[in-house]
Amino acid sequence: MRFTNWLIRALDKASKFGTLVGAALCFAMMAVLTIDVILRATFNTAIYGAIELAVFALVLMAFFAQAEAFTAGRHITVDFFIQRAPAPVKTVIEFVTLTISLGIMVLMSIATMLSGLETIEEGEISFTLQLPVGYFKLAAGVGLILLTLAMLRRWLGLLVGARDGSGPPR
Amino acid sequence: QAETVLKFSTYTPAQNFVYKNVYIPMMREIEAKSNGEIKFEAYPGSALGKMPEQYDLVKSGLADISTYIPSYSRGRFPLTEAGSLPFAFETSDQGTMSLNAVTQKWLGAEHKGVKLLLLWTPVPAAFLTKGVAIEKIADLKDLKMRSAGAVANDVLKLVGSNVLTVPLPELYTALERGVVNGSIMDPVTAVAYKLYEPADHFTNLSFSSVVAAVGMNTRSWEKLTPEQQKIVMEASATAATRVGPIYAEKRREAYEVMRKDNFTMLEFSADEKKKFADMVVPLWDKWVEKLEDEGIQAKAFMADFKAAIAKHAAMKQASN
Amino acid sequence: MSTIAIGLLGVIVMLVLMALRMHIGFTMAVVGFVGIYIITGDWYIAFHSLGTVPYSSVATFLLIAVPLFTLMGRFAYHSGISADLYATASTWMRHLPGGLAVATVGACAMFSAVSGSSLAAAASMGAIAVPEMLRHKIDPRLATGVVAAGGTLGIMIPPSLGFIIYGLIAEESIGTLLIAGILPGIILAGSFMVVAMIWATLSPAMATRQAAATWGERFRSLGGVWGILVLFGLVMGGIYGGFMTPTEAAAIGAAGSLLLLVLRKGWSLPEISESLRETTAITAMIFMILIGAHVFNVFLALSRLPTSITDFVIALEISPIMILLVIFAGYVVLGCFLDTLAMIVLTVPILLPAIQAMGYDPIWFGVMIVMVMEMGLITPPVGMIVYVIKGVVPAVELRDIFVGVWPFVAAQVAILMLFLFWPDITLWLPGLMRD
Ligand code: NA
Ligand code: NA
Repeated sequence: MRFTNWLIRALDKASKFGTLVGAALCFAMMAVLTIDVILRATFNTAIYGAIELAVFALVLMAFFAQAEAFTAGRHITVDFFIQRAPAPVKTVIEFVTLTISLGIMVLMSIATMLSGLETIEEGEISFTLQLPVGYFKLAAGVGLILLTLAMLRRWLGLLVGARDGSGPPR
Repeated sequence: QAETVLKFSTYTPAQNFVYKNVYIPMMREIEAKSNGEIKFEAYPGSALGKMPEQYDLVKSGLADISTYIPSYSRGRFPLTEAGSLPFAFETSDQGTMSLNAVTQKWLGAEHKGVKLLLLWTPVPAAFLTKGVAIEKIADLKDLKMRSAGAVANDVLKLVGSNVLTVPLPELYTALERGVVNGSIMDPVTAVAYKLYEPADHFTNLSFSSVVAAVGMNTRSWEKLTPEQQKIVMEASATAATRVGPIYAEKRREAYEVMRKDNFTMLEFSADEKKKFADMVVPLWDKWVEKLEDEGIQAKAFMADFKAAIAKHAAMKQASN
Repeated sequence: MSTIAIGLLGVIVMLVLMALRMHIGFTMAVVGFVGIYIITGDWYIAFHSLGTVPYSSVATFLLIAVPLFTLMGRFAYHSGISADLYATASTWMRHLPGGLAVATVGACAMFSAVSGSSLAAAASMGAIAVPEMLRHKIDPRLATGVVAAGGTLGIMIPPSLGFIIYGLIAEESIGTLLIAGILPGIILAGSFMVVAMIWATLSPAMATRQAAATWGERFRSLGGVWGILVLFGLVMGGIYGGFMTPTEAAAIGAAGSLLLLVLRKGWSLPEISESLRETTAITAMIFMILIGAHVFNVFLALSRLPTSITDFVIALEISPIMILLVIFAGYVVLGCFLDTLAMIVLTVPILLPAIQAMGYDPIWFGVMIVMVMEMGLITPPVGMIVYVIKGVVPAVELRDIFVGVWPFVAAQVAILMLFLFWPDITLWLPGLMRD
């Protein structure tokens, strides 16, 4: 049990940290592109590969923030049809749809990691800065794994809640 | 014999001339020669995936045949990148024929998971600019130039240009309002995207080429009978011969449009051309050296490749 | 079963799962994945698509504008500019019939000029304008209805995440799309103002008039909002003039908005970091939808559903206008349940080929569907914007808000018809860009 608690806390920390890194990259992206435009307007020069840097920042930001976005209930859902259903029905429906979602995210995480490893092996590099693309794909896979773990945690919570009657966790 | 249905995927839109004049005849030829044993289902216009995804989707087998741009994924097809080296070819025909001469011996192996059917290059690109004439290397210094190719990027950096990334749909406005002074661009694309409107100079210099590939998923390929494989290869060879002439025609049309639009058409002097060619020789050498370091027999390949280019040199006169 | 039938079945299963409150992005990914397997008969192919799609959906230069325009709006919101926007608008307009309601539209339009989404515009203006209008005894139905309508300007007046995503999927110039939204946005804002004035004139007891402000007061009131106006001018002028790509303009917009925040509140780290975190979360959410939609669209293309719909529509012996009206009605219904961005990624790949085959301009179609989808966000039975407003002013009955929205929806329908029969209105401004 203690190990489980430790694991959950580590997961929470990791997903919070993911958002933090994402937020920092978001700022960096804005800064790099702004400086690039200003340099061009004033000194007729540009940051070599600025756009490429921004795209890589975008990738890291988008995937690292997935886990927290899920935990915080940011993802868009259609609430209208089942909002008046009784709580137990809602819990059962959530359990079913979450099981399906979890399935696809497990597959997507693994597939993305494998695709990243393949790209590293093939040696693809970016156009301008010649950075290895595969590592960024791998990072995307890591972000998806974090998301999958966050979903798994919610899924286990539903399972445990249903068994001991304590209801779904939030 | 049961009927085999092959999915043909390409980023090229259905109304594009390469699709109409090269890919469709290739599919029809295979269908006809196989007596209807092979049928095609075509997915043009990036229906199954955008340009950079086309190689992945033929590799996985989502499509049986797809067309993709090896130059788009830098480092993934190291030897094929030779086709983009500066001043490699003078015309589409020369490039296409030279590449296909070395395809089966050298290039097929690095297109993993795929049976490489043919490679082709469009008209080599040069400089399309607005308000600036590029007649010598020094003219490129400090210009804001858009480039979409890896090697072109390196050359622009070498001559001191500022390299910018602008997607093709935004290039019109970017040129018009001076976000970029110009772009590495071939005349055919320049006309297709109406870029001749904002721009007013074109320097005719066979500066760089993009390499396009048509590949077939290995498992789909192995499912074909030897006779069917032969039919596919023959149709691919015929398709390769169709690329150069159609591009020569399109280039003539494009020049016509540019002339009507009062374009200033420029050339480098022979001296300056030589100077530029000498300047980029190190890029060729560095390229060979880098691949040799990675254990790829780039030197031996280069000998074959240069021989093929020389052999097809006659074509540049023919189609000019 | 034909592939087209499989495609249709996939769409139905997807809608059912969505109705069961399954996350939209995951739903599309699951249905797409299973659909690819059913059509190709090969798990490896379906699995491989799951591996390449996430990275390639996100690693796109054009998408950089999504977080940056969101950030621009978040910085502006945290700078507390909304209250000033409202104060300025009411100084200029409060003497008109239904003056504060008219001012609300003006403030919403100004906030829309820095915010990329409708819900953000509705939430921030609702919290400020509705209590103020209620205090001045404006009919609660008018007070909430006008904020809901004003909120829809958020995605029409640039910056607009809707147009960025549409441009990405339709492969149209995002800059052109953003510029194309300006005039329709202004026309819509004007029509909402007229509706508010007519309403107030017809039942003056419900909407009291205020004393006019002096011209001195009016110009002094601009002091609080000039930053927003300059920022909008800089960003849109940059795109319109072609000095910046939309991506660069988004970066400049975000940086400028940060500057506004710092000028008003100093280096307030909690607010800056909150803006960045919210932006990151919103981006993560949007991109998961894009990833799911990408998997789903591969399945759809394989099923040939979009091509057969195009063939079907072309073969129909009905006028294109009728087909468009049916499509628009469908969007209003979908708009009741789905978010605008989700609707775009779901429907545009299916419909756009048919629309173009009928000879309509894709830029025009983008403006039209964004407008129609926004109508779905404020009409019953479900209107996301209406819920947002109910959330910020709980005292007003949901029913009253829906009633208050109707006159504005009528105005939207009228404007929609105007653009349907005179498409040139939407294409005029972007047309100038190219001359
Ligand atoms: Na906006
Ligand atoms: Na907007």
